Amino acid sequence: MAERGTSPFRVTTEVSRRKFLKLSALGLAAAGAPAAFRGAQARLATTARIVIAGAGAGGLAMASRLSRLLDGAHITVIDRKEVHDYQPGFPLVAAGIWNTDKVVSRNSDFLPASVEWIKAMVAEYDPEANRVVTDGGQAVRYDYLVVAPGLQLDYRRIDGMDIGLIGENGIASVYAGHEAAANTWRAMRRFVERGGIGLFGRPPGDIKCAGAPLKITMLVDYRLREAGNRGRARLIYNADSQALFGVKPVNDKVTQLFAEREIAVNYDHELTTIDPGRKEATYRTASGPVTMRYDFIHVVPPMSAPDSLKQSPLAWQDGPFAAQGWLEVDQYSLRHRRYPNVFGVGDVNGVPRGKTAASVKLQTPVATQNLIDVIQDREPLARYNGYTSCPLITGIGQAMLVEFDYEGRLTPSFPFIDPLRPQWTPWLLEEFLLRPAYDAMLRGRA
Amino acid sequence: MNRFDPLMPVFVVLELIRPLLPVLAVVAVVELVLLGFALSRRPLPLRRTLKRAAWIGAIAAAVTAVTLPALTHSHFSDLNSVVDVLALIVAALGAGIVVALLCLPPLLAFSGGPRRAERISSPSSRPT
Repeated sequence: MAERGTSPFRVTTEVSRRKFLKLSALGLAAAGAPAAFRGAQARLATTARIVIAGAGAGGLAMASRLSRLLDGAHITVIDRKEVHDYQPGFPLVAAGIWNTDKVVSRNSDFLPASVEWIKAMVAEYDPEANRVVTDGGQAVRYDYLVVAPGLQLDYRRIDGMDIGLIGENGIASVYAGHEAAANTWRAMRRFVERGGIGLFGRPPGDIKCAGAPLKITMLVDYRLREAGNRGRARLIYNADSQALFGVKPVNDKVTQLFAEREIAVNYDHELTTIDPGRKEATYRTASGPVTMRYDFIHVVPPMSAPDSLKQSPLAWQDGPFAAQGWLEVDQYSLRHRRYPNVFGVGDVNGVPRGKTAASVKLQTPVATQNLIDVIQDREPLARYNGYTSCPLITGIGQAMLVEFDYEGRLTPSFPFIDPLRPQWTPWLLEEFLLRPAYDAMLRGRA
Repeated sequence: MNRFDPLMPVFVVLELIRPLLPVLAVVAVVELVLLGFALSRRPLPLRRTLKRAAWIGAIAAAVTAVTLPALTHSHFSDLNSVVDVLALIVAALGAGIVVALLCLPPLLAFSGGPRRAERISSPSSRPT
């Protein structure tokens, strides 16, 4: 046994100042290494004029990346909206878990200082003349165009429905902005207290965050059980097609969860009319219109490309994406199929899947790299595989981290997390990490 | 295109703490001042201080483990897999380490000099 005074450990406990400072400096250097590494990436000198239509998740992320990677480019973002909504957080607001201040920020917080911001909306795309025209009449010329205006919520296609009704007469809708999400919680809370018939569903065609209608259904079920009122409510999910979700294993799992929770499912039901006074909803079905009474209804509007894009030559002219007017891009390179100086990012893209923030995260590096390659007259080789993700909330405290690609293959980022099992870990990610990851994406850092 | 950027976690953490950056800046300055003060004394009572910081970190980790489910609007019953339990442990350990590191400069600055036994054992403190 070593004597106290001669123990080597004891001698080293009294660290010299120099050694301590050396260790601290090493720690600081390690902490600063990422920034140094990023800063060392070469910037491409160019005088290209790049216009980005839209300052949503895709537009901001593209602006951040391009301004960092290009030296001398004139980058212009066109969007009137100054408030930025963190849309993946809407279901949490709608279920009374978050306040709206957790999902609201400002576009100016994310736009790089070197980027010009025109506070207007693009009213006309003129790709033959390489210009767009704003709703204020300003024509903006470009060498390269990034189309990222998001999509349009077509509530008007449901007779009797209006955004102003959300929160009243049992009408809820999580899609129409942070205030609508908060109003949805108002309607949901009333329903949870009183019970009755709850109607859910989704429209046909592509919609953003296709998991949200399922999440809201399961959150209402959770809140009813929590309040001890599940027995006083009947929940019915009216699916637009023969499935609840477009990816088979996920569809099977959700079908099982709905059955366990006694949530009835009707297939091939499309909401066409809502009568807020009588609290009745009418659906188009194969056997004719079906009207159902409700005490609570979660309305998911049909969605399409913004009218300005839909009416432009940039939209798909035929095929499955033409009806909703989506942007005609190659699904892998995200480059326009007919106008090679045009790229698309986000919800507006006419691609088989990918209308989520997670899709934007993977699309922006691809579109950025390919745009830079095109500026340099190189073949754009970066490929987007259709990756998208949905933290499918199954109740407060649990979620399934579902990730998949164009082919509907499950592509988990964390192999140790079972994508088809409701767990707390994906919920923890949802609560704490996805918002910071989203903000990092807007800054072009993730 | 590669989905995972190894540097991404750094930027995600930066965004996570961004709202706290002004407070963290003040804390960092205070910590540096205390560290400077501690380093001006010699010898550093590092072993004893590390022990104390570790204890405080352990308490912080335990508190985190107990409160984190509630902080995420969930219950312990929601942790239904090994992954969930490991995630809780990792989060608690992370919080404990951060708290322990934050405690280190003030503890170094405000703790007394090394105990007599430590002073005797240190070659630098022995009379030549």
